[in-house]
Amino acid sequence: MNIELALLIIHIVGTIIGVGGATLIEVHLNQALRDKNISTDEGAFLKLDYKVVRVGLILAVLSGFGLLAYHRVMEHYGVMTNPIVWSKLLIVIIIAINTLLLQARRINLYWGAAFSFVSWWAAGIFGVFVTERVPIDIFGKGSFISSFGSVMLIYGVSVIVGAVILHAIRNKITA
Amino acid sequence: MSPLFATLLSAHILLGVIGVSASVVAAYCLIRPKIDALPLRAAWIATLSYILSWLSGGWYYWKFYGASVKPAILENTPWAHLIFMEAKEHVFLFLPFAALVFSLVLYTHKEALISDDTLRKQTLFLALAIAGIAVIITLSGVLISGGSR
Repeated sequence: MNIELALLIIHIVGTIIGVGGATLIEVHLNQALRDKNISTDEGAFLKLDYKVVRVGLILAVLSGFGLLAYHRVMEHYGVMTNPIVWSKLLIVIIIAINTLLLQARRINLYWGAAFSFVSWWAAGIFGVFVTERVPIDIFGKGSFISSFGSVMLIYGVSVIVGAVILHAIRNKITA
Repeated sequence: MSPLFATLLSAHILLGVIGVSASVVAAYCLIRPKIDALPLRAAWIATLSYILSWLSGGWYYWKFYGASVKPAILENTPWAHLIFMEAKEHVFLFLPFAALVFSLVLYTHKEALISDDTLRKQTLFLALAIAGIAVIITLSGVLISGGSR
């Protein structure tokens, strides 16, 4: 097995764990909020979910930069100037900032949950686009900025739509 | 690129990312501090990673980058070197020392960080500044690598 394939497998595993963990957080949170009170057991499950997501994040970030290092050493420079890769880097930074804001209680559940859930899914889906070399350019300019802006616009709209949907689900469950 | 420089460059990148991750973890722990070993461990891991990344990147820069990579960047994307690499190589000088100061504050003032809110906020600010600078340096590194095509 070559290094690139091993790193790619670790990256995919990390992303699966992260996306799965972020999804389970929403499921368990909604389950816990059904009676508007998070019990000790429910809290323990949520803590475990957060740990799982952190493991996924560490695996995905280290293997992701491992892949960048591999491509740099092998002089495959296309990846470093790929706008979708840069969008993924920015989304990972948003995940980290969102985690810090949630810990500091400086962001409410409405936006915090949406950023966490949508960012993980966006990073996973855009990762497939990078692997399959699918271009994203809704402005049709063919430039780095145009493609990067397109990805971030899609991501931004997805966060807003995700926030509305997740809030509606929570309202329905707690009603 | 020889195996030595490939290893040094890979170590520089991965140690840098480990340092950034550890800095974020340390800052995260300081937001609502508990008396446990995690923030101090993360701070020391970050310090050690930055120092080792500094050494491996420094050797690569000194012995390989200047002669083999820099001319290509200056020819194709001069701003990648003149702005981002110049900024990176100067700002990066501070990072291991800032991380060391942060680790020493955590080591020597562990109890005070729980009781003294002002000290905790100032230390948190230092931790966030280290993490922020490290993220910018990491992204600059990706950009410089892209500029060397």
